[in-house]
Amino acid sequence: MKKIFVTIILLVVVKTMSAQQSYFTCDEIAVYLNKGSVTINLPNLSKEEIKQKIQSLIKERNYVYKPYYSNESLVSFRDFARICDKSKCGSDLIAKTIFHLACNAGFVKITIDYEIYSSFYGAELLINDNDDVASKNDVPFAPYEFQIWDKYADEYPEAIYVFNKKGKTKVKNGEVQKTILNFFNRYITDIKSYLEN
Amino acid sequence: MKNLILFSVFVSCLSTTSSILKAQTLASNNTKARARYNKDKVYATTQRKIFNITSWAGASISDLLAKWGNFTRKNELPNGIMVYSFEYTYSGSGGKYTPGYTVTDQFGNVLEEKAGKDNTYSYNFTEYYDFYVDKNQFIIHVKTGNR
Repeated sequence: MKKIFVTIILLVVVKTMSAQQSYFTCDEIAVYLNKGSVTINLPNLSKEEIKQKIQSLIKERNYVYKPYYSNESLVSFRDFARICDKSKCGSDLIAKTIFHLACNAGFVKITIDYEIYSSFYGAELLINDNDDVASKNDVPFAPYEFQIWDKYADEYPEAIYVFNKKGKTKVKNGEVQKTILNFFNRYITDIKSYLEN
Repeated sequence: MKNLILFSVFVSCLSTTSSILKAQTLASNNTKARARYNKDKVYATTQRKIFNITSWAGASISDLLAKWGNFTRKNELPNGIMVYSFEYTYSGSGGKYTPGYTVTDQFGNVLEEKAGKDNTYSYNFTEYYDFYVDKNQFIIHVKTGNR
C-alpha cells in the first residue's frame, strides 16, 4: 500500500515538473530555445500524417502558413501576437514568431525565428504577408530592448536588464522576463499537446 | 548679526543649487525621453517604407508587372519558385581637388606652404527588389536592399 502511495506521489511530481517544463532561456540579448530546437516524438505517425496535423493546427489557431520557407519536409508558419500590455510590462510588447517544423516519420523538430516589438507610445502594429511590421499612422515603435543603460531605465521600463558604466548587468524587471518566457513556452506546450493527441 | 547674514546667504545658496540641480535633472529626463521618442520614430518611418514595398507579397505577379513595368531579370530556383528582379543602379561623383603649393626664395627656403585638399567622392550602388513567385503566379516573398 505504501509503495503504491509513493509511486502515485512520484508520478504526480514528475507530471507537474514536465507540465512546467521551460523550453526557453532568456539573457541580455535574446530569448533562446534550449539546445536551439525542441523535438517531439510521435512514434505512431507517418511524415504525411504529421504534416496534415500541422496544417490543421495552423488553421485552428489562425496562424499564417509560410510557403516561402516551407518545403517537402518543412512546414513554416507565423503568428503575430501580444505578449503583454503597457500596464503590466511598462510597454505593449508584441511578438512576430515564425515556427519551422521539420517533419519526418515519428518525430517533428521545432525551431523558431522571432522579433519582439515594443510599442511604448501605443502604436497599433500591422504586419504584411512578407512578415514586415509597420505602425498605423507611423506612430513610433521599435524592436524590444532586452537590456538598457541604467541612465535610461526610466525611459525603458519594459527592459529586463540594466547595465552600468562598469558594464555590470543586473535584472531590473524579472516579471517581464517571466512573462516573455511563459509566452513562448505556451506555444511549444500547445504544439506538443496538439500533435500528440 | 554677521553670523545670521552668513547663515542666510548659505541657505539661499543651498536653495539655488537645489533648484538648479532639479531643473537640470528635469531637462535631462526630457532629453532622454525625447531621445527614445526620436529613435522609435526613425524606426517606424523606416519600417513604413519597407512595409509599403513588401506589401506586394500576396498579390499576383501580373498586377506588379502592370504597375512596375519590365523587370531586370528572371531566375527560376530549383524548387520551381520564380524570382523577378528589378534593379536600379545609381552612380556619380562630385567634390573638387584643390592642389597645394609651396613658395620658396632663391635659396630654396620655404616662405609659404599649403597642403592640397581632396574633397572628391564617388558612389555606385544597385538598389534591388526581388519578388519570389510561386507556381500559381502569386508573390510569396519580397526582398529589397542594395548590392
